Amino acid sequence: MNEATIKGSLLLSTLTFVERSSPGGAAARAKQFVHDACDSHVLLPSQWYPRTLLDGIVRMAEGAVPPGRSFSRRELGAFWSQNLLDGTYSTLKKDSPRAMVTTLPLLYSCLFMDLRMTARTEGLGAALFVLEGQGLVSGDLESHLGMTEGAISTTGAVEIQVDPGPPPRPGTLALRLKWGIGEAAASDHIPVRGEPDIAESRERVRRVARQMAFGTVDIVGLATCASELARNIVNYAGEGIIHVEETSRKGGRCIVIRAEDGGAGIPNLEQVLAGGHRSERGMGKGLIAIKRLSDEFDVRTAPVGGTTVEIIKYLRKF
Amino acid sequence: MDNSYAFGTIPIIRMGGVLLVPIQIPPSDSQAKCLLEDVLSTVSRGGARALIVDVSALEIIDSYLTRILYDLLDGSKKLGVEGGIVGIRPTVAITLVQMGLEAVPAKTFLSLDLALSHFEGPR
Repeated sequence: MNEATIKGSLLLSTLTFVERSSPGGAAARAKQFVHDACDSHVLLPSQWYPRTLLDGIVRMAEGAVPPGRSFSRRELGAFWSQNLLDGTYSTLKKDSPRAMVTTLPLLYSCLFMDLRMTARTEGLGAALFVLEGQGLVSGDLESHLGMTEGAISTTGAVEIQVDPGPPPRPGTLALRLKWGIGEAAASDHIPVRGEPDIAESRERVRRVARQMAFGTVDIVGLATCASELARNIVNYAGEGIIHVEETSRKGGRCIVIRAEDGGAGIPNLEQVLAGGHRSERGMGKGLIAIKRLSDEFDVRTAPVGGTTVEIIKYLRKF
Repeated sequence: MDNSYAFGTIPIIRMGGVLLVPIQIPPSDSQAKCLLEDVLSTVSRGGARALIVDVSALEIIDSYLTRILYDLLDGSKKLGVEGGIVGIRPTVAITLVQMGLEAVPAKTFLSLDLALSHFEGPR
């Protein structure tokens, strides 16, 4: 796990210890710890102590509150709306409207949508801090992470560290889970030799694009480009290869799709790209479509060297 | 519903006076050729008020598939039978717009119901 790949951090804290701490001390330290350690944070209740924990969290968030005070749904709602990202909050409201209390798995699943979005805005890498007074949530967390598709991959990258420095409260274990989002840059190489490889190219490009957390529309656009590129290889060159790579270029984080073949080249390339040339099977339209679906587009072609088409699509920040 | 039958793997379904062609997976070159011949020969036999092509199962429509749709619907039009396309997904629609391909000569409909009621005629 490479520190350099961590660009942002999120805190998931199950602050069970807060509930039992004396007002002021441990809670304030925990809050400070959160504030110092993270770029942004999200608070989650533990599934084991829903109601009282929420009381404790609210207490921590709003300052000292007389013991025994209970919180109205509106107050809890207000608390959550301040401390959760919008998407998580609206899903929570939809799924647990009565008590504004929910289980960890549900919040994790809402949260992962946000994590994915945050990963896109913050760039690669995230660190999860879990403060847990009772037992370890890491097992649960890992299995939840393991179930998450797309940008968040836990393969070999989950590392559990006990945080250096004094824990927020004696007897409390602060776990720091680190993993990289997309730490192994996605790449694929697809040999194209016949029609079945066209669908294969679509699917494999789609997979890389999804792993990179491109939006749905972009994923469809990229898979369509793959289809066009593969079909051109099949129709005009007979055989070739499509390379897909997650990388960084001058515009930032991007996917690069490069289709190479050893065919006879594209005669009248200029005309084809300008839309003036209509081949029997519509290759011109395919190339123009590819150009329009990508951020950068480059074609090199020669009667002897064959053709290489390279397209780049940048991961957009929100 | 009248009889339905299939040539090859893409069925051509007679349904209340229209021909329904659901394209579930992108056809290969040879399948596309067969499809075009079969559809147009069925259309030419008469008895269909319209040809409806259902693409709701398709997540990707590239220029090749657009060409197939064009051929089907243009061919049908030439035989005097109007056509419609049902079920273009929003992401596909956005991609088609971005690609800037020529429009297929057919009305598009959000659902089969809408398409059928549009083509309703004297029975």
